[in-house]
Amino acid sequence: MTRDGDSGPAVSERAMLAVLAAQAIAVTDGVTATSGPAERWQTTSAAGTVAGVLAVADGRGRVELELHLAARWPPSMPLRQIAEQLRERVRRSAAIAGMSDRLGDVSVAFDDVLTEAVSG
Amino acid sequence: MVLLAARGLARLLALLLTATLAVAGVLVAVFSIQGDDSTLSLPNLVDLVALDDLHASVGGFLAALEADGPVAAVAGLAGAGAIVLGLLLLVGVLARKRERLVVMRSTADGTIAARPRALGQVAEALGEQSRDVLRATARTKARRRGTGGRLRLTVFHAQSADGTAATTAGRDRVRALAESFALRVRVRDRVPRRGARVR
Repeated sequence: MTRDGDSGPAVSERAMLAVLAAQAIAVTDGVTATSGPAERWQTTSAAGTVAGVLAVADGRGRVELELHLAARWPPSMPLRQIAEQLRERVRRSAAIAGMSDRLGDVSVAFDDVLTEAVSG
Repeated sequence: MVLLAARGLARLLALLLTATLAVAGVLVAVFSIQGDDSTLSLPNLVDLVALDDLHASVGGFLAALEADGPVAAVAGLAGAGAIVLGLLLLVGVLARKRERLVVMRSTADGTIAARPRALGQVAEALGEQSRDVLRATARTKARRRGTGGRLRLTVFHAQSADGTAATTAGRDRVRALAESFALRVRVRDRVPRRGARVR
């Protein structure tokens, strides 16, 4: 899905959107990107590998993003709010980069939790 | 659906085959204790399970199978059936099950979801916060369609502790999590088995 040479947007656009999403995750409190046990959730392109972000050409000239996260528990705010905030950040970053028309669905999946800090 | 059936069939067959193999192994081992024609000897086992008679009857069938005729046609069909069954079993063993995510919100812009295992981890950690609870285990399952899913939390408490109180405490602890992910919660209490380890 993320291999070079797929139909749809150029690799650089997918890679750039994946990098923007990774940056948005990095500045969001309480979550980190995770590429999963088999390193499935990552975007590989000529520019390199972006962990925790799966960028997929949707065949209609846009790029769908799947953000895979590990959340710290207890979260500083509801997970839904974190996810909404993150999606908003990604959309804003894409708009600033002039790529909002290239950005398709942005999905967020909480794949893991870090529960060591759970307290009564 | 086919995948589920194939997986179930593969598990059942594996169980039956391993059980049969184990029983056969034990029989051969026991009947190897003595030699010659003694009670616990292999020749006696052959007599007991009437392998000679089986050889006679199967020998006739195999002879009919070699020749053209209805027996060969039936055997051909059975062979084809066995190939289909084998392929089905291979699918059941090798096909990977795609884990469904518990969807919190789904819109035209995308979905917000969580992996059931991650939610289970959180539920266990929350359930164990109660001082009446020694240990908690959780199983989370996503709904096939739409948002939400099911959470089954088991809280283990000391024999002397009140089970109802532990259940209520467990339910209270996971309430916020369940509400945010639209999980239907079922909590049950258990006393750990004697000698079971507490994490």
